[in-house]
Amino acid sequence: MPDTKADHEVEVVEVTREEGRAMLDQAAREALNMSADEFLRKWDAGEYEDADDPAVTRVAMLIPFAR
Amino acid sequence: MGAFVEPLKDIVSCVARAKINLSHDGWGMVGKIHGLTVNRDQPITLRCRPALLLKVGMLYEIIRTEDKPERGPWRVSTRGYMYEMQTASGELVWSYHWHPTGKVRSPHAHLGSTQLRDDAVLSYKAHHPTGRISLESVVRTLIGEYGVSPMREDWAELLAAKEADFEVYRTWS
Repeated sequence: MPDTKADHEVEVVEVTREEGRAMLDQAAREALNMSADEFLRKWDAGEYEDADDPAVTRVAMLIPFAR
Repeated sequence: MGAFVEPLKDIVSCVARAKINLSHDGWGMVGKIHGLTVNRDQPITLRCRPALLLKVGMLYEIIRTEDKPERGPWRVSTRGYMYEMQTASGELVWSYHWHPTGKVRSPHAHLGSTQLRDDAVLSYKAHHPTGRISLESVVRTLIGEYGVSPMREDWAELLAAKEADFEVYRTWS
């Protein structure tokens, strides 16, 4: 049975840079087997400019959380 | 920001009770690409059998605009998205991507390799072109095609209304 309208509230929360970096680190380790630092270094060096691996996209979506 | 996040809250509430997370300064800093995710980038367990998971990620930018003065001087522009359905064990079923970097920069879909036979021509890495995909249409597909139980009675009307707004105010399709 669907819930009533009163139960719907979805919160919006801003995370800290530290929390965001932890999110990126976890995603990079799970998807690409590397740390956030290593991913960002490769990203900044342009190593993923022509990447076609969806796993890179998954991780790259989290870059703003760490910067 | 309210015109951006309020519809997202309603859309997410159709299938989940989870927090929407913004990257730091994501409420108001101009001139920067911000990130948005749901449930701290952890998959949301959907109410269906067999169990399915949903991941949502978006990129957005707060920009100054004079296009629609009735809506104020600021607008939130989507810069990328990732909507992903997974099995209960975390294997990709399908995902819809649009991102401003990488080899394929137009909207596209991927099919999970575990959904394909070993000798399938289709590949996980193949980018299947799509139009711009809304979160509303993804949620409607989850409910309508995959048996996810909605968490609110007015989900159909709500998604239709939010999608109508999306089609009016989006700047590309």
